[in-house]
Amino acid sequence: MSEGLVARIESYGVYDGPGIRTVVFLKGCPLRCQWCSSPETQHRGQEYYYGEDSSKGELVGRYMSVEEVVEVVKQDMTFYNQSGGGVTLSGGEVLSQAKFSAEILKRCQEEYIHTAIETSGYGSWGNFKQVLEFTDLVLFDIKHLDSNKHLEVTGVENTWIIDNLRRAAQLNKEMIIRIPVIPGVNDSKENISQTAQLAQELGIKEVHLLAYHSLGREKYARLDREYLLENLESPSDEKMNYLKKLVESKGIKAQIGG
Amino acid sequence: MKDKVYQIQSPRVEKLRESVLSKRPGVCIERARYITEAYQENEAAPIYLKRAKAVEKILQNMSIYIKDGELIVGNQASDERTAPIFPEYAVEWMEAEIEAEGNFDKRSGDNFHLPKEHIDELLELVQYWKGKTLHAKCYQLLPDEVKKASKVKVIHGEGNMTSGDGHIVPDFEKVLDKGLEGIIAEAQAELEKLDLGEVDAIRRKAFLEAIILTNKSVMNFAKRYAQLAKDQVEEVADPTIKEELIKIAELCERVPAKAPRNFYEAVQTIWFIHLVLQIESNGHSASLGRVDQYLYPFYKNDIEEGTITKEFVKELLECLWIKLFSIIKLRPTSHAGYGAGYPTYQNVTIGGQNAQGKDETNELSYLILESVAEMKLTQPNLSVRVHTNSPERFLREAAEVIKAGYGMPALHNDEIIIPSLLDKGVSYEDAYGYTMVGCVEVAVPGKWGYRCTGMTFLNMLKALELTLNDGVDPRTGYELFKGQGNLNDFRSFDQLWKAWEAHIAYYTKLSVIVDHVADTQLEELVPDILCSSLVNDCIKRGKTVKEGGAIYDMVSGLQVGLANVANSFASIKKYIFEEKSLKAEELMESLANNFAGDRGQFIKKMLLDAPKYGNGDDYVDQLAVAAYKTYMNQIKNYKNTRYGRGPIGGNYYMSTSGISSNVPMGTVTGATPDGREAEKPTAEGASPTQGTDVKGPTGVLNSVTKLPTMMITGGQLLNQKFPPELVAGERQFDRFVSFIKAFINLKAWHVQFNIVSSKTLRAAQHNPEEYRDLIVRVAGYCAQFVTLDQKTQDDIIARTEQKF
Repeated sequence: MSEGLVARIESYGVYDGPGIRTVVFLKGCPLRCQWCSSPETQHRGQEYYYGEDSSKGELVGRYMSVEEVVEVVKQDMTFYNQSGGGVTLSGGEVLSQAKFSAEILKRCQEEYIHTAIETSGYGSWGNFKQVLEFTDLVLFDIKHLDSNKHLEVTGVENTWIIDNLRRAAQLNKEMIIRIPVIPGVNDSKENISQTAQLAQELGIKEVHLLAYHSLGREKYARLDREYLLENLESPSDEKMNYLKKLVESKGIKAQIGG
Repeated sequence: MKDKVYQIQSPRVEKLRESVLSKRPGVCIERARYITEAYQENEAAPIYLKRAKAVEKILQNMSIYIKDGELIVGNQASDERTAPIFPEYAVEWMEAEIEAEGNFDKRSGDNFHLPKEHIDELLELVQYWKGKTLHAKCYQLLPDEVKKASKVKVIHGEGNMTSGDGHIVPDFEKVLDKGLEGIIAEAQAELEKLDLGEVDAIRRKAFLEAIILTNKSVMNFAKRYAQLAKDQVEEVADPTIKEELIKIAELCERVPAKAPRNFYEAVQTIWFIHLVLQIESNGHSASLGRVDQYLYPFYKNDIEEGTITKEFVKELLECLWIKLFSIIKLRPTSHAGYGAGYPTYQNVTIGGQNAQGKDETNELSYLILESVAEMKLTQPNLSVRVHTNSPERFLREAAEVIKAGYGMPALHNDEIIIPSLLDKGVSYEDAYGYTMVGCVEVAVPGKWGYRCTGMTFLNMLKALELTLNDGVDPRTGYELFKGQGNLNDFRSFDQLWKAWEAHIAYYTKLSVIVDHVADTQLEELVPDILCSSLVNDCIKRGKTVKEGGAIYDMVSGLQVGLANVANSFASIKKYIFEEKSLKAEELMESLANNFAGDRGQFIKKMLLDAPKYGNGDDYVDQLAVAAYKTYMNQIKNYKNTRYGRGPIGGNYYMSTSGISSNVPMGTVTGATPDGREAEKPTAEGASPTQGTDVKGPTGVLNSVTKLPTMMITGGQLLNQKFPPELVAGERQFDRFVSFIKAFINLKAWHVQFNIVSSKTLRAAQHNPEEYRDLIVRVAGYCAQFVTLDQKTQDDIIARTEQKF
């Protein structure tokens, strides 16, 4: 069994899939989204995260075996049973630790635990396929349909991502597209509408619109990094509702928030 | 999903509520005056009759009133939210507090105002009682080592000696079935069977006569209200009010003497009984039992006959809740902190199942839920019995009320409580018919003795501090239990554990001694005649409850600080004995100086980083289980004073229902190896230490359910905080309901929720006037946040603040 690097494991997860879930945040992500609210999960390696008093840093990232993770996940079985919940692998990027992720998901499925992944879709199809085999629900992040813009705000182009989205859609997996709505970055009518259009084409029935929030801001300071969206405000409720209607107009179920 | 809004519908209720809520808590001299006269007139009478005569005199002479718009009548003292005085229990503290402060209204929390003109009268009455009270006589009996341990505050039994018993649910069903005339007839029949030549017959005769006299006094008390209503009819012009008063007169002529014929009469009946029980005894936690069950036949009948509307039913219930809220009891400052916020713990239980496993929720259960939600008062303490087959609608409506954010209802789990009762020898039918009493304790209504929980407190964390210090209390310097060595002497964790076991054995014994002292004196000095006449089988046995009259009589003390003990053991085990990264000497030194200096702070952080109970981590959770079992193995060897005198049981079990004692218990305890600073509150109930349950609510339940809950029949208390955003909106609300279902399936005993943000609580601290009806869950009961002293407020904020 392989080992993986886990940033943290959260119980009573309520924003990443149905019911009450345990969310396993893996560490290491190839993207550098400017709005990322968990920058401590980006770097692929252990790192120190300094507290307010900057005295002793907290080490983020722990190498865990598949069984160790599954043991933690199994603790909340009763909560999954009662709520229709389960496990969600998130990140970081799941596809960057594909083998480890696939093994966790496989073990969970063997225990009849509902499995979900939250992914940027950025990875080789081979890795993605390996993970998808044991995934019941895919929460697929689409940040921008324009590859140049995507490169500008995330550090990578979106070609691989869109390609993976198309392929995954053909497997008839339950899939939800999630769009982080970042004012001035990807919240144009055009981008959202095109994304909904793509969902429709691919037979994906649901889109989640996640409003930008600045809760991750202070983490950047603790990691001694610069936060690029310093003065950005969250989108208004009106704006979010407007975008929701826009998505719905394409015949897609839309939801604000996870 | 639109949030359900709970709004009072009836202007009458709105007015009555405002009146009771705006009343400044007071003290009434009348009871003290009349009981003193009665005792002086009946010095030679047997104690049962002396008590009966006293109750008779009080009920005949105390001021009574009917307020405008009241539907349910009957008052405990000269005004609402006004505490009567019970001098027969304790007076020394009253004199001392008045001498020091001039009144009872200068306290930091739970203050009461005694009208100036009554201060001298009270001080005079006190002189008669000095040396004769329950407290004085108990104190004479207490061995020195117990007194010492009480000063160290490793045990605390003062409540029992100054407040008496309470914690009981009488047989309301019987009264509803045959009225007090029926109770009198029962006593009469026993009296007629007596052969005075037989052993003990003379005593029984006095007891039965006292029962008859007391029940008649209650009937006459009701008739005083009938007369008052008639008098008031003459004085009012409003025809509606006239009609209502005529109705009240009619009611009070009939009940509680005769069996009620309809819902209105039934509610008035239970109020009279419940009221007089609280005038008779100074105890609190007198509870109403399964109200939705015993009132349902009246409700159903009236609805079917079309003689009552749901709106009126709700109005009556709300009038009853206002009456419950109007009752308060005066406690010594030294004990008030143990139950802060004027709690009276008058429990009402709804829901549950019958012995066939069929759910017993009915329309009245929903009306009770809704009416309590609309009132937003701290009384009654509403408890909901839940189980795996509870109706979805019931769970959701209960969750809706919880979400409204004032701590009620508390949820109690049939899935563990019923097996636990069966395990203690309770019959199958009785186990399914259980009710909550006070906060989280359970009993069979009308068949169980006093204080199924609520005997002497055991401060487990102090016991640990003493274990680490070879029985010497660092705060007072008192030596309690020496000879086991201190932390520096222990070569292994096992040695420490052996010392812990020896210490717990010692303090357990002391706590039982306190109970026995209190119980023997309560039995001798303050028998409750009305209460005994309504608990089976007191009449048949010719015994008061305290003499062994109840069918079941099992009790427990309250064990406080379990989470801190487990966390402390985990730190010591990990750092001193396993990693050896900390020396015992160094730890003891930094505890002694409360983590002073850089090194002290470093050690504190290290201790805080150690595994903590409440996160599902076996390393520490198993230590909690073991630490608690140490106590369990001791307490199971002891009996209470009713053992072998009639009741089933006569023994002890455990309880983590420590009310708010975690604050005063913490105040006397120095810094501890869990990283807790000196004087800070301990954890409460079975809940994790404030701020250490970082894995969220599932982790807490995973830890708590590892405890030997089956054996903790005295009740297990879990305070669960939920930030408001985790119950808001349909998707999160659904998850919250699932969480409750998981709680049921995990067989946890009890859970109560505080769904209020720390921001709101802080605002209330600054502007108490604006937050008068901010109700929070303290520990097994609810209190108005702004009436709590600051320490307790801060503790609640700390508990709420936790982010997960």
